[in-house]
Amino acid sequence: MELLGGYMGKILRVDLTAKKISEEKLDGGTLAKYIGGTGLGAEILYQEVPPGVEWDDPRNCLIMASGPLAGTRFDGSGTFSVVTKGPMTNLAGASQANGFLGAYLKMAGFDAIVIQGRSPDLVYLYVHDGKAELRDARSLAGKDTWETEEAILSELGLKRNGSVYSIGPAGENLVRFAAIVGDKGHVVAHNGMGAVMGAKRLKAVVAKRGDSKIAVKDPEKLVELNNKLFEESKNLMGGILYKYGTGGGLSSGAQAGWLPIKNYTTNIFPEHEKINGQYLRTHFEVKPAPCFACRIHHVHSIRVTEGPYAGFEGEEPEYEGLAGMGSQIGVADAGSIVFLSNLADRLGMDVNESSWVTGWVMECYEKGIFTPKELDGLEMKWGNVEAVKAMLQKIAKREGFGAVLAEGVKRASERVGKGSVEMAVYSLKGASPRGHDHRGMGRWGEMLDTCLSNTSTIEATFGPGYPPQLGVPPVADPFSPQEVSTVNAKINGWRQFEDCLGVCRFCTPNALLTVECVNAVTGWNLSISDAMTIGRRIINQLRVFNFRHGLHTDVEGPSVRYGSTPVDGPCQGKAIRPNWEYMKQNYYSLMGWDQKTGKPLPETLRALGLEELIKDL
Amino acid sequence: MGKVDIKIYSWLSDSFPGRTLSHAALNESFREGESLRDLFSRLSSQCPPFGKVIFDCQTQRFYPHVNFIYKGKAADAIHDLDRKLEDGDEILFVSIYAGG
Repeated sequence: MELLGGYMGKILRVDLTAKKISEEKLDGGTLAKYIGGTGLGAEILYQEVPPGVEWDDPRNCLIMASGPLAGTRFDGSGTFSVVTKGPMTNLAGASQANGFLGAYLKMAGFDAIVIQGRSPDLVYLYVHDGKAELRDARSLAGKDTWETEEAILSELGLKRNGSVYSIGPAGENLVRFAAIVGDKGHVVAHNGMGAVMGAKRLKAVVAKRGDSKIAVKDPEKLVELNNKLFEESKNLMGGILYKYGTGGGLSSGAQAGWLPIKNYTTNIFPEHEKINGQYLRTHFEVKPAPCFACRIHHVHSIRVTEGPYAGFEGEEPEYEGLAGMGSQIGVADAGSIVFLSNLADRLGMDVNESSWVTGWVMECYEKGIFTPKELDGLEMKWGNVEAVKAMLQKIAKREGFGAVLAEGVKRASERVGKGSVEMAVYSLKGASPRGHDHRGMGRWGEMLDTCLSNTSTIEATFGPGYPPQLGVPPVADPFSPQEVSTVNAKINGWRQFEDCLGVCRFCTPNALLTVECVNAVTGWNLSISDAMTIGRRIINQLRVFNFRHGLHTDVEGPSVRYGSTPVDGPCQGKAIRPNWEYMKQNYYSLMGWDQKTGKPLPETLRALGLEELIKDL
Repeated sequence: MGKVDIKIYSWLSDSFPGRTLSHAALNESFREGESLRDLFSRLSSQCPPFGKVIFDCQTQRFYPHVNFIYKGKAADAIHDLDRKLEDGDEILFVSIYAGG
């Protein structure tokens, strides 16, 4: 198929072991089938990482892929996906970050980078002007992600025309939930992507904004459609995201029982209005720090103006940072939350897993499972910010008890025992959820999604909302096992399609307009139905990958605490656990998966153009 | 006669008069024997933001973006509508929130 617009048509291949860099032409047929981003990454992962290759094996691939809308005038089009086999689940992982790299990679001449092998020494990859080079990063060893970004931009003489995504000490030390952090505040967070980079001895990937032109089939149409989408995005959820960022929804979570509070031990947190987005935007000094081409600019930089961290400057935390380093660990001082959230980013760790593991330690400490001596002298009481600060640093360096916690909450609790496994919040695949209490109102679907997805995080859902153009009626009863599991299956595919495009999800509130934008850029003629098929193709392909790599349906569920029943608050007594098997079976059935084994049925794979995968199951 | 407290949070309260940064508050009277449905239907016609954002009088349903909390507990958006109001009842409306 001829590529008319949206693609550079090239993949950059990097073999770190041999220090060899090459490029490969992308064929239109693959792009039509998988689009880009997560889809393209999933196809490469499937083809090039066979069963038996573990996450830290040099043969594991780390794929960074933009999409057809990246780098165009579409709002928020600096996004890219990272796809790999991740250490938290030792199964497929796919995670996205916004910022600039997705756009700059294309402007440097490439749609994606495929990295394999392991470098003998710490290096970074610099992509620019249609070529790439590996550079010595030994002087960057131990530096945090912000220091690394500043050092590399200075070394290369770049400023805003360079995008750096790096690992911090956590990634270098193979902390299982290490993240890749870039553009001062954007994070490829889930399933330990930073640990995979660390295992490859790759400190950073840098893309320079170059002169390569991104062809757009119908530029005027794209602008017209994108302006309509922008108006919808701006007014999405009453404009709360536009005005207050993702933290603007935090108090809704407290009132509807989906704000995580002290490791799911309670659902009451009266201080929620002191730590929400509204508070930050009206009490601290903030200014927009938008991603590439974004007019929504929900991302802000921040300066704390009160409390013990007055004067601290960094990135305004997203909702998950506020919840994770706030209510989840009993911290009610907004400035301290800003500090801790930024610390996790700078150390290069997923703020979600960091907060679950910290909250678990605090609950264990409260219940006498740990003494301060066992915790290297730290008094891990709820809300003890200084102890959390010290423990996060220990985790990143794998020092003392930090080495236990560096394995993530599932493995740490299994090692400690003493009844602590029952207190740990995680999906049985090994990763922990996003920063919500999924037992709360409107979040049951997200728990089901987190536990049944390929990537152990959201795949079908994005909170309780989805574009009305998908034609699926809204959930009337958020605690109906039948309704929730049915809706999850019916909408599944759309979010995966979005993750192929190279744009931020906050800029795609209307499915029809989004698909029309893809058509305006590429010259294709996709429908929403086509988009759903593409999304479902990727989901099923990753599911086959996971089965080949050891997935069993026994692990498609929540841990004891994750699937427990709230003991107080608005959702007290609402029990998901007794409904779990029904929800899982209903979902399997509607997805076209075998009820017993959970494997995609041959007819399901055939209908998605994946008949060649049938033999692999 | 009795009174109920209604609090409307987040962006749902944007068009209500007298809202604070976080919410709008209503203190409504009701007659003996009135149900939640009666109250919400009345408010929908008397208070335009309520009819536009919270409760659709025509379909007798809450809008899909509304979470309904009654007496401190997540309420059933269909069956709880026919419960009889009691003096001092507290009702919260909270927006659903995608993403984050």
